[in-house]
Amino acid sequence: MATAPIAPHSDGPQSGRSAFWGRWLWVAPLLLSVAFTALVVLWAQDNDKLEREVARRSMVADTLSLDAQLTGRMETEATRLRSAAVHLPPAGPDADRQLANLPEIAAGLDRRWLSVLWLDVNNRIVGEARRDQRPGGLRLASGEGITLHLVAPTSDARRPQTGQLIARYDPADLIKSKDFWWLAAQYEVQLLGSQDQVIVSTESAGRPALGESYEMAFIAIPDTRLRLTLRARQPPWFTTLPVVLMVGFLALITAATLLLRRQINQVARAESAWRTEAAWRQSLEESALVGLRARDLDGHLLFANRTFCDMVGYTLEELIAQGPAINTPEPNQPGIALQRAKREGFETRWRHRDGHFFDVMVFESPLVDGLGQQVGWMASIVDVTERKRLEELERRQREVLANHARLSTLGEVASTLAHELNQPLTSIVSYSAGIARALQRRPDADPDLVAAAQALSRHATQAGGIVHRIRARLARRELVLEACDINPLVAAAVTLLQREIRRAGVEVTLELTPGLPAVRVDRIGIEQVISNLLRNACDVMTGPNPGKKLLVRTGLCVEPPLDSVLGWIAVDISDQGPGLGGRDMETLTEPFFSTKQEGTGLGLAICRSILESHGGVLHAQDVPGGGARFSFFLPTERPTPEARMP
Amino acid sequence: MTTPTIYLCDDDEGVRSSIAFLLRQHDLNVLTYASGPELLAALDAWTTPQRGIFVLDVRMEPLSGLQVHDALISRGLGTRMPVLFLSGHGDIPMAVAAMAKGAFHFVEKPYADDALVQLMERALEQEVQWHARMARHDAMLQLIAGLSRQQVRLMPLVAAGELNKTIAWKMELSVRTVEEHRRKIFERLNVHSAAELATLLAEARAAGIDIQQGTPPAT
Repeated sequence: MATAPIAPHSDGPQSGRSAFWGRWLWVAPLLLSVAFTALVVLWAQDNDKLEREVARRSMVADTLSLDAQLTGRMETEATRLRSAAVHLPPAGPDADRQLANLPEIAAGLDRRWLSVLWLDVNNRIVGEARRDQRPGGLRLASGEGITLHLVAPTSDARRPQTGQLIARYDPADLIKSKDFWWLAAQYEVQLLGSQDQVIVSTESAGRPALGESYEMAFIAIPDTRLRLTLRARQPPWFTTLPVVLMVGFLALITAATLLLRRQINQVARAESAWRTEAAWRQSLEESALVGLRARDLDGHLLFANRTFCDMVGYTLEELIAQGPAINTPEPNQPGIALQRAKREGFETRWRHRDGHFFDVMVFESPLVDGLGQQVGWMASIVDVTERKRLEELERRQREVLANHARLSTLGEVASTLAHELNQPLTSIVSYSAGIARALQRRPDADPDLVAAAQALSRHATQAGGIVHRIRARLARRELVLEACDINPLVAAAVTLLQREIRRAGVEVTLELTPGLPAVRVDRIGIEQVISNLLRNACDVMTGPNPGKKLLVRTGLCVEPPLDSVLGWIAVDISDQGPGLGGRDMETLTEPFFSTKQEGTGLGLAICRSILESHGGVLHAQDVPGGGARFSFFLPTERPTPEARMP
Repeated sequence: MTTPTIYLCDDDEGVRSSIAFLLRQHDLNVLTYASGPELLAALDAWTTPQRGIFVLDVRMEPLSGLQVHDALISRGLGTRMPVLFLSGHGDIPMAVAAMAKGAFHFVEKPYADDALVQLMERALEQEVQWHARMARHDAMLQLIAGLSRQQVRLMPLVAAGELNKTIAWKMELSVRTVEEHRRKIFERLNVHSAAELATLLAEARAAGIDIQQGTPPAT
């Protein structure tokens, strides 16, 4: 299963500009929509203007065409009337009938004329033909609307002017003619008089046309004007469909943008929270002194924190790029890590880039993704090199001390033996020398006896020499004296014995008086004395004794031993054990005397000998209330003006 | 005149008796003590100064040889009577410390018989010298005690070889008085020249005697 490496979150906050853009990006669609809508509106306006212009032109054209056609008809009518007038026969007795029977007149009456009046030269009525007299002729309400008339002079063969024919017709009939239905469908056609009064209209009075209108003078009929009004008013541009659609679109876009904005805000908040969390996590990881490492199931490194990188000496990029070779610096097989990846961890040894090895403690636990599936292993790694080094150091120190103690023991044995033998040997030497001397002074001295006594002395001396040499060989090493403070020595000894102290369940209290004068001692020797006394104290408190308190005190001695001009440093070690049991110092320091089952009986003897080799003293006494106090005193380097004990 | 005595202090009875026996065979006076306090008690019981040397064992109870030595020094005996140590252990630092405090010698047990006796004899010789010196010092103190305060003050100037006139001018005395003082000083101290006087004063100074005060060296 491949999992992408976890990139370090190095991308900090974005730059100001891009942040600004990021913040306002959501408005962009809205702005674009507004611009687009504005363009559409402009286009709609323009288009509207154009359409109006076109409509106006066609209206003008229609008006002109209507005008021309009406004029043409009028001309035709006039021509027909004239032709009827030209061939008019002289008036008979029944001029009316005569006139009505004239085919042109009859056709005219059938067609459009309301009536034809025949006037003679003197403008007297000769006859009259009317439409309503025609059989099957249309009845026309007389007096309805304004009528117009055509005039044509009559003539015959001899006279050019015999009278005139006047044809009356209804202009409404003309205008409402079916021939102009296509116009009437679109326009209201009106004929206006000179006072703007409507003479004829194609529309009834209650339904005025609302649209644009155009009028022009109607020359065929004097003092009249022809007006065309668009039946339907063209809707204003902003009510056109595109504009309405655009407005709707804009509203939708606005709503969408606001929603988008809300979404963006939510995302931004979530992102900010995530960023904070990531930053915290990173600080945590980077500040941790524990190395952290994540690997996928194939052992490829996914992530490592700085401590880990410092540990192995590679950068994160190098670690990721170089694959499992570096990711698993364990010299042993990498699979093991997976098998025993338990919470308790395991210890191993890794190699740093520069080649040195270091010890680590690895704790691995499964790395689980958001779906709860294991995608790898997360390990925390602790560098334990320093701890191991310290442990090793401590162990070695303890060993040195133990070694030293063993040597001291041996030396003490030899020393004790030498001392014990020395005394009788000294006596033998002295006595034999004395005897030899006494014999020599006698005048009758037996030379054999003298020689024997001298030999005795010599052999005893020889024996002493042998003892001396043995002791010299086994004796403690030479003391290395140096001026040092007693307090650090005491503290160091306590630290060194911490393990035993803890095991014995003893509670140690240190009361170290600061500013004590320096003592000139062999550091290791005195440390050995202190640890020996401490160990004894711990040992006597292992029993069912309730008291487990160990008091270690340093100070200046109250009563310097016997007339000493030097100041003395005192170190007291008080336990709550069973006490001395009436034993005095001599018994306690007797070699091979021990109250412990497995004791050598040399500890205190060694302590005493070490102290005495420093010119110091060892004391022991019972503490009131139970327990024993072992004290030792060491002379200071310089005399101290006053001896005090806190 | 009392013969010098060897004060032997050792807590081991065998060693103590044997050494005493050996020394007696060499006609030496020996007094033995089993412990430091016993020795010190005996010393404190003295009414008159005694002559002799001390032989101390190092390892003793309750006082070690070194502590006894310190007690001897504090009693002013350290410079009059040589102190020898007997050690069964012969720790070098201990020996160094003892020698630094003025011990005569540090003997390791067991020793060749004659070596100890020879050492004792050398210590006794030293004691004689020390005693003689102390006696001279005492005599000198007595002589100086016989001088007037003015004569004591004049003495260093005379010893320095100053002329009577100069001394008179410095001390604001008459030349005759100075001459008289000079004569008295020479007579009392039994010297015959300024040079002899200078030698005497140098010796006194080396012994730590404060001539002006006329007191013995501080112990």
